[in-house]
Amino acid sequence: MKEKAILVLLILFASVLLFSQTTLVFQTHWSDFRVNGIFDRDGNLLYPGLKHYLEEYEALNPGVKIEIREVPFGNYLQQILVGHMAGKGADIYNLYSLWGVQLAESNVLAHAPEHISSKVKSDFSSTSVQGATINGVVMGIPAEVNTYALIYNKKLFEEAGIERAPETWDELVEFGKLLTKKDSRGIITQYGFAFPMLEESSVSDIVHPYFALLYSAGGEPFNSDLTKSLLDSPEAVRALEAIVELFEEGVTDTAGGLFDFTQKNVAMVIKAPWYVSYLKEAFGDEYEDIVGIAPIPYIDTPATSAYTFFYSVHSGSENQEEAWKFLEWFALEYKEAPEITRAGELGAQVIGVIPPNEKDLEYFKTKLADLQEYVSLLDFATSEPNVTQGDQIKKTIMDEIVAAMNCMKSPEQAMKDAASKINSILQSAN
Amino acid sequence: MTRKGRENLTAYLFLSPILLFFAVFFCFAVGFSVLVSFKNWNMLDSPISAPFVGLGNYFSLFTDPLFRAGLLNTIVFALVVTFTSITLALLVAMALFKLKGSAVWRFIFFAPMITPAVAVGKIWSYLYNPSYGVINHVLGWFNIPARAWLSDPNLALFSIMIVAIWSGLGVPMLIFTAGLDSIPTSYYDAARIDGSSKIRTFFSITLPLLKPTTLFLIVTGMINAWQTFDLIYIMGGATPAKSIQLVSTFMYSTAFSYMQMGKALAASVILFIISLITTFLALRSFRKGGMESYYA
Repeated sequence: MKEKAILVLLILFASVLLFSQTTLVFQTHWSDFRVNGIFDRDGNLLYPGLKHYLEEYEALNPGVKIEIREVPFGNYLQQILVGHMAGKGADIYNLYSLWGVQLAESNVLAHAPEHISSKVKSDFSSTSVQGATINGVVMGIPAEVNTYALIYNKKLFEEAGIERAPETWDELVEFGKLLTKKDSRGIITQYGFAFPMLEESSVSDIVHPYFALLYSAGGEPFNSDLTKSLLDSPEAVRALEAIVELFEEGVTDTAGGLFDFTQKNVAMVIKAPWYVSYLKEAFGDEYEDIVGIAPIPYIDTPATSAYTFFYSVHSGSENQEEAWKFLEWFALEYKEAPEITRAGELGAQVIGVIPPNEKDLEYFKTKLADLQEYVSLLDFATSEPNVTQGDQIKKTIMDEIVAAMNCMKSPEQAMKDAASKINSILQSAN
Repeated sequence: MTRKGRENLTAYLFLSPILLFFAVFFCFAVGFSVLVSFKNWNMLDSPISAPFVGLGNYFSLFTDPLFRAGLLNTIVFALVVTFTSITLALLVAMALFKLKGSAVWRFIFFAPMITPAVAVGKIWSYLYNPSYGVINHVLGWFNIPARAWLSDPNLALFSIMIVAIWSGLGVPMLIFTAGLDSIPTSYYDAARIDGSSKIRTFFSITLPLLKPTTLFLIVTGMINAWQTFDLIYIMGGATPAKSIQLVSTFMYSTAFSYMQMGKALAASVILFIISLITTFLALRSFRKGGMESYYA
């Protein structure tokens, strides 16, 4: 009888525990080692991945369980929309800032509580705060900042007798000519420069370097209140002419790609910092001898473009309070020693991005040599504007740039068409 | 209840699952799409409260250069892929008909049909890759310059059409084989006795008697081609949207990337009407033919 009573009590206790447990769903585009951590050859954990931080939080908060929902970047926005419509949205999103405007305006994102928003403003770099701010309201905690830099093959430079990376765009074209090799049919066998044309990240990898050149030429993509495109300006045309010059001079063509860089057939590409981790994996021990990183060569003044991600909470979440509590612990609270955030540690050590928190940035700047060049570019970086219908506008710009690359339009016509299409998109959206 | 009434009730009971399925996934879906195509719905708010814009979405589509390009590309894609596939399938079916070991060949031609389109798209993307793809490598042996098959706007749609034709050859080939099998040999015997050449026999006996089969393949082929999405989505890359955009991919990006579900559904209604008209025209032009016309 007594045993039965104990059993019933135990079952009751387990049920109470089970039903009182809060489950948070954390949606991210990260996968693989970014979630599971980096291990050495003997299987020892070198750097913890996202799941290790979540396990740490669960151990500290027994009533909370956090599930990771991995969604490829290409389907990420669609997953948010469908999840929101079906009432199956995640509680926490690691969100690309460009999507923030549409999602915030449609009330998909919850506003950050006041204490979180003020800590974000005080502890994070201005570029990252700009990315997490939609219509003047902080919508989350910055997760990463990515600037763009020139990645070059030091060995190919050495073979061509070039001793340093190009500083200006004119130099890039000149060096590119020296670095390009063609076969008897005139087909490029070694690219002086390549644009990644067939990658999942192609849109960003074409538009962001263009923005860098645009800023460098003294132009802007939009007017100050983001209601009109300025891509038909002489500066915008000049920036595209600079890109097209590479094609006209035979330094590149649309057949080149990132794969060729790892095959040592491409001398220069422009990429974000996360690409460096792929290169390390591809080149292994040769990485140090081959890969060089330098600022994007400029037209008039040094400049680069940046994009950001931020952690946000779904407005439809039933556990908003718990979600913000977790994010506060993960991305705002400093560990005792070293005094850095867990999110910053994950970003810098594993993801390969620039940590947006100032203290994290200071700590990792000296620790991670690869990030240094990207971090130094923050002083010249302009964050991608949080414009409405950003995704559609970005794709429109890419279409016009690629049309000019393929000689289907002159740079002037391409930019004129881009401005006209973007103005029409903005007009419909507003 | 009379016996006939009971029989009718039983018949409807047996049909009810499929009728229910049809009502929910076709009638409701089509009705909902038409209704929402008159609204400015972003998918995040309720479709009921979304503002009514009348024919605004339809006008906006016809002033959108991307949609116009998509519509033109879809028509070209559907016509080229359907008619090339059917022609090639007929040739293959005739070549393999009554051939020794034809089952093996049929399996080889049918294999792409049972391969998921995503896998087909990925594999062909590798084959087409300008740097390490087999196609450029083979062309190199004949001194033919390497091409950017998927990133050159002038080539991209053509390259994807080849994949669609290749992967869609299996079913028409099998159906043509069945069609060829159903033609009585006595017709061929009579033709031979009359001294008819092989070409004359083909155009006077084989082709007319395959009319119902051809009609079926054209209608289903066109409908499938209008709806092609996966290959473009997988193989598209950074090709300018205007060069490879189909109405289906336009609908997808408009709805799920740009959150303009009303406009996307207006595009789907237009595609539905075009599909309906094409089917009607095909049925009308092939109304007579096949074995039945000979017996009539």
